[in-house]
Amino acid sequence: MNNLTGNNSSEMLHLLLDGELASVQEVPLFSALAANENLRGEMKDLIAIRNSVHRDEEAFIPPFAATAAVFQSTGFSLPLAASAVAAGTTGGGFYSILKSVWVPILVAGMSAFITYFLVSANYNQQIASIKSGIQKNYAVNNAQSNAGNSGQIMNNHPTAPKVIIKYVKVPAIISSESTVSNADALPTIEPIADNISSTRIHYQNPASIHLNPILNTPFKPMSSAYEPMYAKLSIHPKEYMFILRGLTGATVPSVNASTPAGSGLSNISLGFYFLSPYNNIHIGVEGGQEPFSQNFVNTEGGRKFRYEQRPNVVFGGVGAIGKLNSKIDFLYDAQPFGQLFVGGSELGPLGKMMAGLTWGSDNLGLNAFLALEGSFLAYQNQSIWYTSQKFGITYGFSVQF
Amino acid sequence: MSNLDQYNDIELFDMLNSDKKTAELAFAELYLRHSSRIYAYCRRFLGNKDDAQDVFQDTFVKFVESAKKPRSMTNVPAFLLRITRNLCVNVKRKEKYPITFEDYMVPDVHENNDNEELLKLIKMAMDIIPEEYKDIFILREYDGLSYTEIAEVTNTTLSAVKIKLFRAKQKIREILSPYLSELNKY
Repeated sequence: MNNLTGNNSSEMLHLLLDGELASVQEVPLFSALAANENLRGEMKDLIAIRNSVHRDEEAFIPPFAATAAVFQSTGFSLPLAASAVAAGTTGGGFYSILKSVWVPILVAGMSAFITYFLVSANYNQQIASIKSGIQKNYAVNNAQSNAGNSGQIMNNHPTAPKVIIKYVKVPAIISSESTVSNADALPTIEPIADNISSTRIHYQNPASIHLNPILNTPFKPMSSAYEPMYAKLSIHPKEYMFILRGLTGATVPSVNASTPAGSGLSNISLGFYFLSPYNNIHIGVEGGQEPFSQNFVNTEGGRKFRYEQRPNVVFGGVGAIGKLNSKIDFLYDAQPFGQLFVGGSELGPLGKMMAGLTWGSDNLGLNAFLALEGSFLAYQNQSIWYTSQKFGITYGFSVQF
Repeated sequence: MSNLDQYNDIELFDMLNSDKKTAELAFAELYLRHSSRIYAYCRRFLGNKDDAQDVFQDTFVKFVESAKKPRSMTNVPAFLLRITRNLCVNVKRKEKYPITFEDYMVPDVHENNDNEELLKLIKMAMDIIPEEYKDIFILREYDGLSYTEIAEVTNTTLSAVKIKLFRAKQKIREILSPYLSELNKY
């Protein structure tokens, strides 16, 4: 067959399937198809071959490494759109990133504000309750135990906080002269009651009351040996903490693609945390950038394309860090800690869990840490959700102030 | 100029000679439009993944270089495919030991998916038919080119395209006939 005449049924069938058959040839072909079983079989074969070819996903997807190599060798920078387009998004540049992460940034910002507000409000509330408690107890004490001359005392000194005796756990009988120092130098009272008749008390401003942990012993003048009230209230003086961490690990699913060059700092995150009202738990915000592998199918023009890539992903969110009080002696006083992180990324929601050890000095506020980390990223493409996991090690240091 | 999908291929090709920012965006848009068919041609014509990636990369390098020379561009995908074809042919010429059909014919007892198995057999069949047939078959089935476009890319006549494509499909069908006849029973 040197020439294709198009008159042969088989030839016409090929032309039909390729959309090249002239309309005048359609009727003869359909008649032949109706009459010829072999021709129908040939049509089935050709359709099966074509359908299989169109499912050849591997052939239609340039690997991300190849794409990166093309842009590098042509002297162009790989646009963010190249990775974004695979995830079903469009656009590029900073605006594209911002558009993708504005929700997590907003949530993180609000969380930071709320956290700060709660911490501040809780602190002020505790101080306020102390003050009100002092006044209240003062009144009770006044009514119950100082019905006699104490009433006169109170008349003379209406703000005299006798409740201070309860707060500082003054012993039932104070035999020797004791003094509670008074920053505001309130008037001296003597005697106060029968059971403390020999006591000389100098009252102090309730807000600066210091507790004497020793019972049944005379009070000593206030000095630096007294433990600050903040310690009793579980509010650590170093309320804020900056964290800088590096991240490394293996990604699942495994893809034959490398992270594109020139996409900025990678495998790094920065966090800012507040000390929460709960012991040894910091709450705050954290954000950074690290690569996650993606392996998904994209349908374009009726064809399916499998994408494999490993883009750098910007993320942000809220986290909680908890430390155990105990230290491990044989690991150079290492202190175990754990962290939970929930947030978002430019591709989708992101969660992280960490557990490890931290070393350093709480007094100096400087700590180094090393931990195992697991990350979970969910992303959507053409209404189908995919996941990407990462397991590895995180390390870095924190500064508290 | 962040949204370039409103420009046609020829306008984008002309933009490659503009300032770097514009050229970068224009190239990215052209890449998104045509990279799949270029890669498909390389991958199926050469078979070897590494060779395919090398040719794929070289194609775009030559494409960008050609934009710097004075040229009247009429059909960008055809131009890209011509570059790709020439590079693929060069790679094939350097091959000392072409892989034969028999090398591939190792039955895979773990293969349960009919479609995947058929696709594997088609790829094997493509490697044993003459390259001039394979070339046309890929341009038609993988790159979706019409007969006229294939004639333009391959610089042959329309009737030659029809004949080669017909023969390519017939040969592939002939190779796969034992499998296809089994498949059609179900």
